[in-house]
Amino acid sequence: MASGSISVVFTHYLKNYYRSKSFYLMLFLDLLILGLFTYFSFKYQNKLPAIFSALNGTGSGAIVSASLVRSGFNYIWSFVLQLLPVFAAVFFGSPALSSEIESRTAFNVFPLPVSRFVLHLGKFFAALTVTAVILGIFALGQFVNFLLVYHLFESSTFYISILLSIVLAFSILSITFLVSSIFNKNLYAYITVFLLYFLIFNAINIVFEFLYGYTPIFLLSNAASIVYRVYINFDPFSFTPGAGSISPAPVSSIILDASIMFLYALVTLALSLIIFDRREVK
Amino acid sequence: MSRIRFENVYKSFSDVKALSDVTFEVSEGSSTGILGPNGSGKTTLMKILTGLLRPDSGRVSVNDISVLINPKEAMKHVGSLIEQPEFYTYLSGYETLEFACRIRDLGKEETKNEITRVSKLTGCFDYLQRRTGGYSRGMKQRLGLSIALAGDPEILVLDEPTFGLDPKGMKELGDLILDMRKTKTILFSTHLLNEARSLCDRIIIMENGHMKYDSKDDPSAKILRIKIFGRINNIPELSSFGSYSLTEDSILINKKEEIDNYEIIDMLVSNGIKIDMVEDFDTLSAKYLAVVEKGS
Repeated sequence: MASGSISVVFTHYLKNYYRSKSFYLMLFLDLLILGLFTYFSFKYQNKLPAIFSALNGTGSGAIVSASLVRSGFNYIWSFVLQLLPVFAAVFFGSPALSSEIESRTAFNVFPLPVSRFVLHLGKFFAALTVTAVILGIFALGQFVNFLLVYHLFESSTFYISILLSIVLAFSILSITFLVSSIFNKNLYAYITVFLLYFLIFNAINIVFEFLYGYTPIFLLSNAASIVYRVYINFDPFSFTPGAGSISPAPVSSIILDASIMFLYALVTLALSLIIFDRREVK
Repeated sequence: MSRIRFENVYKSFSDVKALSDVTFEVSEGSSTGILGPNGSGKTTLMKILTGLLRPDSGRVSVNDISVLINPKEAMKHVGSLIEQPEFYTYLSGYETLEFACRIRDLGKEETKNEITRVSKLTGCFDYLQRRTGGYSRGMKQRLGLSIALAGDPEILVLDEPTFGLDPKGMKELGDLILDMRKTKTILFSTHLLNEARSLCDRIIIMENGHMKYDSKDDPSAKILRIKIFGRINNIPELSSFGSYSLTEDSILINKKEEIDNYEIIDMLVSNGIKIDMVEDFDTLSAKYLAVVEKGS
Protein backbone atom coordinates (compact mmCIF):
# COMPACT_ATOMS: atom_id res chain seq x y z
CA MET A 1 0.00 0.00 0.00
CA ALA A 2 1.37 3.42 -0.97
CA SER A 3 0.56 5.12 2.34
CA GLY A 4 2.25 2.25 4.22
CA SER A 5 5.31 2.55 2.00
CA ILE A 6 5.39 6.32 2.45
CA SER A 7 5.42 5.90 6.24
CA VAL A 8 8.30 3.36 5.95
CA VAL A 9 10.26 5.70 3.65
CA PHE A 10 9.44 8.72 5.82
CA THR A 11 10.65 7.02 9.02
CA HIS A 12 13.82 5.80 7.31
CA TYR A 13 14.79 9.22 5.98
CA LEU A 14 13.72 11.03 9.14
CA LYS A 15 16.20 8.93 11.14
CA ASN A 16 18.91 9.73 8.63
CA TYR A 17 18.07 13.45 8.77
CA TYR A 18 18.00 13.94 12.52
CA ARG A 19 21.28 12.08 12.94
CA SER A 20 23.02 14.06 10.20
CA LYS A 21 25.63 16.77 10.69
CA SER A 22 23.38 19.15 8.71
CA PHE A 23 20.67 18.82 11.33
CA TYR A 24 23.01 19.49 14.24
CA LEU A 25 24.61 22.41 12.44
CA MET A 26 21.20 23.90 11.74
CA LEU A 27 20.15 23.24 15.33
CA PHE A 28 23.28 25.00 16.56
CA LEU A 29 22.54 28.04 14.38
CA ASP A 30 18.94 27.99 15.53
CA LEU A 31 19.94 27.97 19.19
CA LEU A 32 22.65 30.58 18.62
CA ILE A 33 20.19 33.01 17.02
CA LEU A 34 17.65 32.18 19.71
CA GLY A 35 20.23 32.97 22.39
CA LEU A 36 21.19 36.28 20.76
CA PHE A 37 17.58 37.32 20.32
CA THR A 38 16.78 36.42 23.91
CA TYR A 39 19.71 38.53 25.08
CA PHE A 40 18.72 41.52 22.95
CA SER A 41 15.04 41.15 23.83
CA PHE A 42 15.78 41.62 27.50
CA LYS A 43 18.54 44.16 27.02
CA TYR A 44 16.61 46.46 24.67
CA GLN A 45 12.99 45.83 25.67
CA ASN A 46 12.71 49.36 27.11
CA LYS A 47 14.12 50.95 23.96
CA LEU A 48 11.56 49.39 21.60
CA PRO A 49 8.94 52.19 22.08
CA ALA A 50 11.51 54.83 21.08
CA ILE A 51 12.61 52.85 18.06
CA PHE A 52 9.05 52.39 16.85
CA SER A 53 8.03 55.97 17.42
CA ALA A 54 11.02 56.96 15.26
CA LEU A 55 9.98 54.54 12.57
CA ASN A 56 6.43 55.83 12.84
CA GLY A 57 7.68 59.30 12.02
CA THR A 58 6.49 60.75 15.33
CA GLY A 59 9.96 61.43 16.73
CA SER A 60 11.88 59.52 19.31
CA GLY A 61 10.09 61.18 22.20
CA ALA A 62 6.60 60.36 20.98
CA ILE A 63 4.47 57.75 22.66
CA VAL A 64 3.50 54.67 20.71
CA SER A 65 0.87 52.21 21.73
CA ALA A 66 1.79 49.16 23.78
CA SER A 67 0.22 46.89 21.19
CA LEU A 68 2.44 48.37 18.44
CA VAL A 69 5.50 47.75 20.58
CA ARG A 70 4.44 44.15 21.11
CA SER A 71 3.82 43.80 17.38
CA GLY A 72 7.24 45.28 16.79
CA PHE A 73 8.79 42.73 19.12
CA ASN A 74 7.13 39.89 17.22
CA TYR A 75 7.95 41.53 13.87
CA ILE A 76 11.67 41.38 14.64
CA TRP A 77 11.51 37.78 15.85
CA SER A 78 9.40 36.72 12.86
CA PHE A 79 11.87 38.28 10.50
CA VAL A 80 14.22 35.48 11.51
CA LEU A 81 11.37 32.99 11.40
CA GLN A 82 11.02 33.91 7.73
CA LEU A 83 14.71 33.28 7.04
CA LEU A 84 15.03 30.02 8.94
CA PRO A 85 12.96 27.93 6.49
CA VAL A 86 15.20 29.11 3.66
CA PHE A 87 18.39 27.99 5.38
CA ALA A 88 16.85 24.79 6.75
CA ALA A 89 15.37 23.88 3.37
CA VAL A 90 18.70 24.50 1.67
CA PHE A 91 20.46 22.31 4.25
CA PHE A 92 17.95 19.48 4.09
CA GLY A 93 16.46 19.79 0.62
CA SER A 94 19.31 20.69 -1.71
CA PRO A 95 21.19 17.41 -1.35
CA ALA A 96 18.01 15.33 -0.95
CA LEU A 97 17.88 13.84 -4.43
CA SER A 98 21.26 14.75 -5.91
CA SER A 99 23.01 12.92 -3.05
CA GLU A 100 21.32 9.68 -4.12
CA ILE A 101 23.38 9.92 -7.30
CA GLU A 102 26.52 11.53 -5.87
CA SER A 103 26.72 9.18 -2.87
CA ARG A 104 25.61 6.20 -4.98
CA THR A 105 22.87 5.21 -2.54
CA ALA A 106 20.52 5.07 -5.54
CA PHE A 107 22.10 1.76 -6.57
CA ASN A 108 20.55 -0.07 -3.64
CA VAL A 109 17.46 2.05 -3.02
CA PHE A 110 15.99 2.58 -6.50
CA PRO A 111 15.83 -1.12 -7.48
CA LEU A 112 13.70 -1.89 -4.41
CA PRO A 113 10.00 -2.48 -5.12
CA VAL A 114 8.98 1.03 -4.22
CA SER A 115 7.96 3.76 -6.65
CA ARG A 116 10.12 6.83 -7.07
CA PHE A 117 6.99 8.84 -6.28
CA VAL A 118 6.82 7.28 -2.81
CA LEU A 119 10.57 7.64 -2.27
CA HIS A 120 10.40 11.32 -3.20
CA LEU A 121 7.37 12.13 -1.06
CA GLY A 122 8.67 10.15 1.92
CA LYS A 123 11.94 12.02 1.80
CA PHE A 124 10.19 15.35 1.22
CA PHE A 125 8.00 14.99 4.31
CA ALA A 126 10.99 13.86 6.37
CA ALA A 127 12.86 17.04 5.30
CA LEU A 128 9.76 19.13 6.02
CA THR A 129 9.51 17.58 9.49
CA VAL A 130 13.09 18.39 10.48
CA THR A 131 12.65 21.90 9.05
CA ALA A 132 9.49 22.27 11.14
CA VAL A 133 11.42 21.12 14.23
CA ILE A 134 13.98 23.89 13.66
CA LEU A 135 11.17 26.43 13.18
CA GLY A 136 9.30 25.07 16.18
CA ILE A 137 12.28 25.52 18.51
CA PHE A 138 12.68 29.13 17.43
CA ALA A 139 8.94 29.80 17.67
CA LEU A 140 8.90 28.33 21.16
CA GLY A 141 11.74 30.69 22.04
CA GLN A 142 9.73 33.60 20.68
CA PHE A 143 6.68 32.51 22.68
CA VAL A 144 8.62 32.20 25.95
CA ASN A 145 10.44 35.51 25.46
CA PHE A 146 7.16 37.30 24.74
CA LEU A 147 5.64 35.77 27.85
CA LEU A 148 8.59 36.77 30.03
CA VAL A 149 8.96 40.29 28.65
CA TYR A 150 5.28 41.29 28.47
CA HIS A 151 3.72 38.76 30.87
CA LEU A 152 1.19 37.96 28.16
CA PHE A 153 0.42 34.98 26.00
CA GLU A 154 0.82 35.43 22.26
CA SER A 155 -2.22 36.44 20.24
CA SER A 156 -3.66 34.50 17.28
CA THR A 157 -1.37 36.48 14.94
CA PHE A 158 1.58 34.57 16.37
CA TYR A 159 0.04 31.24 15.33
CA ILE A 160 -0.80 32.59 11.87
CA SER A 161 2.81 33.68 11.48
CA ILE A 162 4.05 30.20 12.51
CA LEU A 163 1.64 28.57 10.08
CA LEU A 164 2.81 30.85 7.28
CA SER A 165 6.44 30.00 8.04
CA ILE A 166 5.53 26.31 7.65
CA VAL A 167 3.88 27.09 4.32
CA LEU A 168 7.04 28.93 3.34
CA ALA A 169 9.13 25.90 4.37
CA PHE A 170 6.87 23.69 2.26
CA SER A 171 7.33 26.03 -0.67
CA ILE A 172 11.09 26.54 -0.47
CA LEU A 173 11.64 22.83 0.17
CA SER A 174 9.71 22.03 -3.00
CA ILE A 175 12.00 24.37 -4.91
CA THR A 176 15.12 22.83 -3.39
CA PHE A 177 13.85 19.34 -4.24
CA LEU A 178 13.26 20.46 -7.82
CA VAL A 179 16.79 21.84 -8.08
CA SER A 180 18.14 18.72 -6.41
CA SER A 181 16.34 16.47 -8.87
CA ILE A 182 18.16 18.15 -11.75
CA PHE A 183 21.74 17.95 -10.48
CA ASN A 184 24.11 15.06 -9.81
CA LYS A 185 26.23 17.08 -7.38
CA ASN A 186 25.04 18.41 -4.03
CA LEU A 187 27.21 21.50 -4.26
CA TYR A 188 25.54 22.64 -7.49
CA ALA A 189 22.14 22.23 -5.83
CA TYR A 190 23.20 24.27 -2.76
CA ILE A 191 24.64 27.09 -4.85
CA THR A 192 21.69 27.20 -7.25
CA VAL A 193 19.09 27.49 -4.48
CA PHE A 194 21.05 30.23 -2.70
CA LEU A 195 21.56 32.14 -5.93
CA LEU A 196 17.93 31.75 -6.89
CA TYR A 197 16.52 32.93 -3.58
CA PHE A 198 18.98 35.60 -2.54
CA LEU A 199 20.24 36.90 -5.85
CA ILE A 200 17.87 36.19 -8.72
CA PHE A 201 14.63 36.87 -6.85
CA ASN A 202 16.09 40.08 -5.38
CA ALA A 203 17.44 41.17 -8.76
CA ILE A 204 14.01 40.74 -10.33
CA ASN A 205 12.50 42.61 -7.39
CA ILE A 206 14.88 45.54 -7.83
CA VAL A 207 14.30 45.69 -11.58
CA PHE A 208 10.54 45.76 -11.15
CA GLU A 209 10.57 48.29 -8.32
CA PHE A 210 13.00 50.74 -9.91
CA LEU A 211 11.91 50.46 -13.52
CA TYR A 212 8.19 49.99 -13.10
CA GLY A 213 7.55 51.23 -9.54
CA TYR A 214 5.77 47.96 -8.90
CA THR A 215 6.44 45.34 -6.23
CA PRO A 216 6.39 41.93 -7.91
CA ILE A 217 4.12 40.11 -5.51
CA PHE A 218 4.53 36.90 -7.47
CA LEU A 219 8.11 36.45 -6.22
CA LEU A 220 8.43 33.89 -3.43
CA SER A 221 10.82 36.13 -1.51
CA ASN A 222 8.16 38.85 -1.43
CA ALA A 223 5.34 36.49 -0.54
CA ALA A 224 7.54 35.09 2.25
CA SER A 225 7.61 38.51 3.96
CA ILE A 226 4.01 37.87 5.04
CA VAL A 227 5.49 35.81 7.91
CA TYR A 228 6.46 39.10 9.64
CA ARG A 229 4.06 41.45 7.84
CA VAL A 230 1.18 39.83 9.72
CA TYR A 231 2.35 42.02 12.63
CA ILE A 232 3.34 45.20 10.80
CA ASN A 233 2.68 45.50 7.10
CA PHE A 234 6.10 46.86 6.24
CA ASP A 235 8.72 45.20 4.09
CA PRO A 236 12.21 46.67 4.76
CA PHE A 237 13.37 45.40 1.35
CA SER A 238 10.71 47.20 -0.64
CA PHE A 239 11.92 50.23 -2.61
CA THR A 240 8.46 51.41 -3.54
CA PRO A 241 7.90 54.80 -1.86
CA GLY A 242 5.03 54.89 0.61
CA ALA A 243 4.61 51.16 0.64
CA GLY A 244 3.67 49.56 3.93
CA SER A 245 2.10 50.74 7.16
CA ILE A 246 2.26 50.08 10.87
CA SER A 247 -1.00 48.12 10.70
CA PRO A 248 -0.99 44.36 10.34
CA ALA A 249 -1.25 43.00 6.80
CA PRO A 250 -4.88 42.65 5.75
CA VAL A 251 -6.47 39.20 5.49
CA SER A 252 -6.58 39.51 1.69
CA SER A 253 -2.80 39.98 1.69
CA ILE A 254 -2.31 36.94 3.89
CA ILE A 255 -4.49 34.80 1.62
CA LEU A 256 -2.78 36.09 -1.53
CA ASP A 257 0.77 35.53 -0.25
CA ALA A 258 -0.10 32.13 1.19
CA SER A 259 -1.63 31.18 -2.17
CA ILE A 260 1.51 32.29 -4.00
CA MET A 261 3.65 30.18 -1.68
CA PHE A 262 1.33 27.20 -2.17
CA LEU A 263 1.44 27.67 -5.93
CA TYR A 264 5.25 27.64 -5.93
CA ALA A 265 5.14 24.53 -3.76
CA LEU A 266 2.70 22.59 -5.89
CA VAL A 267 4.21 23.45 -9.26
CA THR A 268 7.82 22.77 -8.24
CA LEU A 269 6.89 19.64 -6.28
CA ALA A 270 5.02 18.24 -9.29
CA LEU A 271 7.95 19.05 -11.57
CA SER A 272 10.50 17.46 -9.26
CA LEU A 273 8.32 14.33 -8.96
CA ILE A 274 8.22 14.02 -12.75
CA ILE A 275 11.97 14.61 -13.16
CA PHE A 276 12.88 12.26 -10.32
CA ASP A 277 10.63 9.53 -11.69
CA ARG A 278 12.42 9.67 -15.04
CA ARG A 279 15.87 10.10 -13.55
CA GLU A 280 18.51 7.69 -14.84
CA VAL A 281 21.36 6.51 -12.64
CA LYS A 282 24.42 6.20 -14.87
CA MET B 1 9.44 -20.46 -18.07
CA SER B 2 11.60 -17.42 -18.83
CA ARG B 3 12.20 -15.38 -15.75
CA ILE B 4 14.17 -12.58 -17.40
CA ARG B 5 13.76 -11.45 -20.98
CA PHE B 6 15.69 -8.85 -22.98
CA GLU B 7 14.28 -8.15 -26.45
CA ASN B 8 16.18 -6.03 -28.96
CA VAL B 9 17.52 -3.71 -26.30
CA TYR B 10 19.51 -0.68 -27.41
CA LYS B 11 21.11 1.91 -25.19
CA SER B 12 23.55 4.68 -25.93
CA PHE B 13 25.18 7.47 -23.96
CA SER B 14 25.79 10.44 -26.26
CA ASP B 15 27.84 8.92 -29.07
CA VAL B 16 28.74 5.72 -27.26
CA LYS B 17 26.61 2.69 -27.99
CA ALA B 18 26.44 0.86 -24.69
CA LEU B 19 24.07 -1.89 -25.86
CA SER B 20 23.15 -2.94 -29.39
CA ASP B 21 20.31 -5.31 -30.13
CA VAL B 22 20.69 -7.39 -27.00
CA THR B 23 18.22 -10.27 -26.95
CA PHE B 24 18.25 -13.21 -24.58
CA GLU B 25 16.17 -14.99 -22.01
CA VAL B 26 17.11 -16.43 -18.67
CA SER B 27 15.06 -19.46 -17.74
CA GLU B 28 13.82 -20.35 -14.30
CA GLY B 29 16.35 -21.89 -11.96
CA SER B 30 19.37 -21.14 -14.09
CA SER B 31 22.51 -19.26 -13.26
CA THR B 32 23.67 -17.06 -16.11
CA GLY B 33 26.91 -15.16 -16.09
CA ILE B 34 27.53 -12.06 -18.18
CA LEU B 35 31.20 -11.96 -18.91
CA GLY B 36 33.05 -9.16 -20.58
CA PRO B 37 35.83 -6.61 -20.25
CA ASN B 38 35.27 -3.18 -18.69
CA GLY B 39 32.93 -1.08 -20.81
CA SER B 40 31.40 -4.08 -22.57
CA GLY B 41 27.87 -3.20 -21.39
CA LYS B 42 27.47 -5.65 -18.50
CA THR B 43 26.55 -3.06 -15.88
CA THR B 44 24.34 -1.15 -18.31
CA LEU B 45 22.41 -4.36 -18.87
CA MET B 46 22.02 -4.88 -15.12
CA LYS B 47 20.97 -1.27 -14.59
CA ILE B 48 18.30 -1.50 -17.27
CA LEU B 49 16.99 -4.70 -15.73
CA THR B 50 16.68 -3.04 -12.32
CA GLY B 51 15.13 0.19 -13.61
CA LEU B 52 18.15 2.41 -12.96
CA LEU B 53 18.45 3.13 -16.68
CA ARG B 54 15.90 3.19 -19.49
CA PRO B 55 16.71 1.58 -22.81
CA ASP B 56 16.51 3.69 -25.96
CA SER B 57 14.39 0.92 -27.44
CA GLY B 58 13.49 -2.67 -26.79
CA ARG B 59 11.69 -4.52 -24.06
CA VAL B 60 12.85 -5.86 -20.72
CA SER B 61 10.66 -8.02 -18.53
CA VAL B 62 10.80 -10.03 -15.34
CA ASN B 63 8.30 -12.88 -15.01
CA ASP B 64 6.55 -11.31 -18.03
CA ILE B 65 6.14 -8.00 -16.17
CA SER B 66 7.64 -5.07 -18.03
CA VAL B 67 10.37 -3.35 -16.08
CA LEU B 68 9.69 -0.14 -17.99
CA ILE B 69 5.92 -0.06 -17.55
CA ASN B 70 5.56 -1.53 -14.09
CA PRO B 71 8.94 -1.36 -12.36
CA LYS B 72 7.59 -1.67 -8.83
CA GLU B 73 5.73 -4.89 -9.58
CA ALA B 74 8.68 -6.30 -11.53
CA MET B 75 11.14 -5.52 -8.74
CA LYS B 76 9.07 -7.47 -6.21
CA HIS B 77 10.58 -10.56 -7.83
CA VAL B 78 14.12 -9.24 -8.01
CA GLY B 79 16.86 -8.75 -5.48
CA SER B 80 19.84 -6.84 -6.80
CA LEU B 81 23.36 -5.77 -6.04
CA ILE B 82 24.48 -3.18 -8.56
CA GLU B 83 28.02 -1.79 -8.74
CA GLN B 84 29.63 -1.09 -5.37
CA PRO B 85 26.75 -0.16 -3.08
CA GLU B 86 26.77 2.79 -0.70
CA PHE B 87 24.36 3.40 2.15
CA TYR B 88 23.01 6.24 4.25
CA THR B 89 25.97 6.78 6.52
CA TYR B 90 24.01 7.78 9.64
CA LEU B 91 21.99 4.57 9.67
CA SER B 92 23.13 1.20 10.93
CA GLY B 93 23.33 -1.92 8.82
CA TYR B 94 20.31 -3.22 10.73
CA GLU B 95 18.24 -0.15 9.90
CA THR B 96 19.31 -0.33 6.26
CA LEU B 97 18.20 -3.95 6.04
CA GLU B 98 15.04 -3.20 7.98
CA PHE B 99 14.11 -0.62 5.34
CA ALA B 100 14.56 -3.14 2.51
CA CYS B 101 12.43 -5.71 4.36
CA ARG B 102 9.65 -3.26 5.21
CA ILE B 103 9.54 -2.03 1.61
CA ARG B 104 8.98 -5.67 0.65
CA ASP B 105 5.92 -5.66 2.91
CA LEU B 106 7.37 -7.84 5.66
CA GLY B 107 5.82 -7.39 9.11
CA LYS B 108 7.88 -6.33 12.13
CA GLU B 109 8.50 -9.85 13.43
CA GLU B 110 9.16 -11.21 9.92
CA THR B 111 11.59 -8.38 9.32
CA LYS B 112 13.52 -9.23 12.47
CA ASN B 113 13.80 -12.89 11.47
CA GLU B 114 14.67 -12.04 7.87
CA ILE B 115 17.44 -9.66 8.93
CA THR B 116 18.96 -12.39 11.08
CA ARG B 117 18.64 -14.96 8.29
CA VAL B 118 20.20 -12.94 5.47
CA SER B 119 22.89 -11.30 7.58
CA LYS B 120 24.05 -14.70 8.82
CA LEU B 121 24.04 -16.01 5.26
CA THR B 122 26.23 -13.18 4.01
CA GLY B 123 28.35 -12.87 7.12
CA CYS B 124 27.47 -9.33 8.15
CA PHE B 125 25.46 -10.21 11.27
CA ASP B 126 28.20 -9.23 13.71
CA TYR B 127 28.45 -5.61 12.61
CA LEU B 128 24.81 -4.87 11.83
CA GLN B 129 24.43 -2.47 14.77
CA ARG B 130 27.26 -0.23 13.55
CA ARG B 131 26.57 2.75 11.35
CA THR B 132 27.31 2.04 7.69
CA GLY B 133 29.50 5.15 7.46
CA GLY B 134 32.26 3.13 9.14
CA TYR B 135 31.96 0.04 6.95
CA SER B 136 34.84 -1.24 4.81
CA ARG B 137 34.35 -2.05 1.13
CA GLY B 138 33.91 -5.76 1.87
CA MET B 139 31.39 -5.08 4.67
CA LYS B 140 29.38 -2.87 2.33
CA GLN B 141 29.42 -5.57 -0.31
CA ARG B 142 28.07 -8.12 2.19
CA LEU B 143 25.39 -5.71 3.36
CA GLY B 144 24.47 -5.01 -0.27
CA LEU B 145 24.11 -8.72 -0.87
CA SER B 146 21.94 -9.00 2.24
CA ILE B 147 19.62 -6.35 0.81
CA ALA B 148 19.46 -8.33 -2.44
CA LEU B 149 18.46 -11.46 -0.52
CA ALA B 150 16.03 -9.75 1.86
CA GLY B 151 12.47 -10.89 1.33
CA ASP B 152 13.69 -14.00 -0.51
CA PRO B 153 13.08 -12.81 -4.10
CA GLU B 154 13.15 -15.58 -6.68
CA ILE B 155 15.50 -13.71 -9.04
CA LEU B 156 18.92 -12.36 -8.13
CA VAL B 157 20.73 -9.77 -10.24
CA LEU B 158 24.32 -9.43 -9.09
CA ASP B 159 26.75 -7.04 -10.69
CA GLU B 160 30.30 -8.12 -9.88
CA PRO B 161 29.24 -9.37 -6.44
CA THR B 162 32.71 -10.40 -5.30
CA PHE B 163 34.20 -6.95 -5.90
CA GLY B 164 36.07 -5.71 -2.84
CA LEU B 165 36.00 -9.04 -1.04
CA ASP B 166 39.11 -10.78 0.20
CA PRO B 167 39.82 -14.34 -1.06
CA LYS B 168 37.99 -15.86 1.90
CA GLY B 169 35.01 -13.64 1.26
CA MET B 170 35.07 -14.50 -2.44
CA LYS B 171 35.05 -18.19 -1.61
CA GLU B 172 32.19 -17.79 0.88
CA LEU B 173 30.16 -15.76 -1.58
CA GLY B 174 30.86 -18.27 -4.35
CA ASP B 175 29.60 -21.08 -2.12
CA LEU B 176 26.52 -19.03 -1.27
CA ILE B 177 25.73 -18.42 -4.93
CA LEU B 178 26.25 -22.11 -5.70
CA ASP B 179 23.84 -22.93 -2.91
CA MET B 180 21.26 -20.40 -4.12
CA ARG B 181 21.42 -21.81 -7.64
CA LYS B 182 19.21 -24.66 -6.45
CA THR B 183 16.27 -22.37 -5.68
CA LYS B 184 16.80 -19.11 -7.52
CA THR B 185 17.28 -17.69 -10.98
CA ILE B 186 20.55 -15.82 -11.02
CA LEU B 187 21.95 -13.33 -13.50
CA PHE B 188 25.32 -11.99 -12.61
CA SER B 189 28.10 -10.11 -14.26
CA THR B 190 31.78 -10.54 -13.80
CA HIS B 191 35.03 -10.02 -15.60
CA LEU B 192 36.60 -13.00 -13.84
CA LEU B 193 36.64 -16.07 -16.06
CA ASN B 194 37.06 -18.56 -13.26
CA GLU B 195 34.21 -17.06 -11.30
CA ALA B 196 31.88 -17.31 -14.28
CA ARG B 197 33.00 -20.85 -15.00
CA SER B 198 32.50 -22.12 -11.49
CA LEU B 199 29.25 -20.35 -10.66
CA CYS B 200 27.26 -20.38 -13.90
CA ASP B 201 25.56 -22.99 -15.96
CA ARG B 202 25.38 -20.56 -18.86
CA ILE B 203 27.78 -17.87 -19.95
CA ILE B 204 27.17 -14.90 -22.20
CA ILE B 205 30.17 -12.93 -23.38
CA MET B 206 29.65 -9.27 -24.20
CA GLU B 207 31.91 -6.89 -25.99
CA ASN B 208 31.25 -3.29 -27.03
CA GLY B 209 27.57 -3.63 -26.18
CA HIS B 210 27.05 -6.71 -28.36
CA MET B 211 26.37 -10.28 -27.29
CA LYS B 212 29.28 -12.13 -28.81
CA TYR B 213 28.90 -15.59 -27.38
CA ASP B 214 26.22 -17.60 -25.63
CA SER B 215 27.20 -20.96 -24.23
CA LYS B 216 23.58 -22.03 -24.72
CA ASP B 217 24.18 -22.09 -28.48
CA ASP B 218 27.52 -23.87 -28.16
CA PRO B 219 27.26 -27.67 -27.85
CA SER B 220 30.87 -27.98 -26.75
CA ALA B 221 30.15 -25.77 -23.77
CA LYS B 222 28.16 -28.53 -22.13
CA ILE B 223 31.02 -31.02 -22.00
CA LEU B 224 32.30 -31.41 -18.49
CA ARG B 225 35.69 -32.82 -17.64
CA ILE B 226 35.96 -34.54 -14.27
CA LYS B 227 39.50 -35.47 -13.35
CA ILE B 228 39.68 -38.18 -10.70
CA PHE B 229 42.23 -39.64 -8.36
CA GLY B 230 43.14 -43.28 -8.78
CA ARG B 231 41.86 -45.86 -11.24
CA ILE B 232 39.25 -44.96 -13.81
CA ASN B 233 37.83 -48.46 -14.31
CA ASN B 234 35.27 -48.48 -11.49
CA ILE B 235 33.15 -45.61 -12.72
CA PRO B 236 29.41 -46.09 -12.16
CA GLU B 237 26.83 -45.78 -14.94
CA LEU B 238 26.44 -42.11 -15.89
CA SER B 239 24.25 -42.27 -18.97
CA SER B 240 21.29 -40.75 -17.12
CA PHE B 241 23.29 -37.49 -17.09
CA GLY B 242 24.22 -37.63 -20.80
CA SER B 243 26.65 -39.43 -23.10
CA TYR B 244 30.14 -39.88 -21.67
CA SER B 245 33.56 -41.24 -22.42
CA LEU B 246 36.60 -42.07 -20.33
CA THR B 247 40.19 -40.98 -20.84
CA GLU B 248 43.23 -42.04 -18.85
CA ASP B 249 42.43 -39.93 -15.79
CA SER B 250 39.17 -38.16 -16.60
CA ILE B 251 35.52 -38.54 -17.43
CA LEU B 252 34.20 -36.40 -20.31
CA ILE B 253 30.47 -36.05 -20.09
CA ASN B 254 28.24 -34.23 -22.55
CA LYS B 255 25.58 -33.51 -19.98
CA LYS B 256 21.92 -33.01 -20.67
CA GLU B 257 20.47 -29.48 -20.55
CA GLU B 258 18.68 -29.89 -17.22
CA ILE B 259 21.59 -31.53 -15.40
CA ASP B 260 23.56 -29.45 -12.97
CA ASN B 261 27.24 -30.16 -12.31
CA TYR B 262 26.77 -30.83 -8.65
CA GLU B 263 24.29 -33.67 -9.37
CA ILE B 264 27.00 -35.57 -11.22
CA ILE B 265 29.59 -34.77 -8.58
CA ASP B 266 27.26 -35.89 -5.77
CA MET B 267 26.68 -39.19 -7.55
CA LEU B 268 30.38 -39.84 -8.08
CA VAL B 269 31.31 -38.93 -4.52
CA SER B 270 28.55 -41.14 -3.11
CA ASN B 271 30.10 -44.00 -5.14
CA GLY B 272 33.42 -43.44 -3.49
CA ILE B 273 35.10 -41.68 -6.41
CA LYS B 274 37.67 -39.09 -5.36
CA ILE B 275 37.49 -36.02 -7.57
CA ASP B 276 40.59 -34.01 -8.31
CA MET B 277 39.12 -31.28 -10.51
CA VAL B 278 35.96 -30.35 -12.41
CA GLU B 279 36.08 -28.05 -15.40
CA ASP B 280 34.34 -27.26 -18.65
CA PHE B 281 36.09 -29.27 -21.30
CA ASP B 282 36.21 -26.44 -23.76
CA THR B 283 38.54 -23.62 -22.82
CA LEU B 284 36.30 -20.70 -22.08
CA SER B 285 39.28 -18.42 -21.67
CA ALA B 286 40.33 -19.11 -25.26
CA LYS B 287 36.83 -18.31 -26.45
CA TYR B 288 36.71 -15.16 -24.33
CA LEU B 289 40.05 -13.93 -25.62
CA ALA B 290 39.04 -14.75 -29.19
CA VAL B 291 35.85 -12.73 -28.85
CA VAL B 292 37.56 -9.78 -27.21
CA GLU B 293 40.54 -9.75 -29.56
CA LYS B 294 38.29 -10.06 -32.60
CA GLY B 295 36.31 -7.10 -31.34
CA SER B 296 39.35 -4.94 -30.78
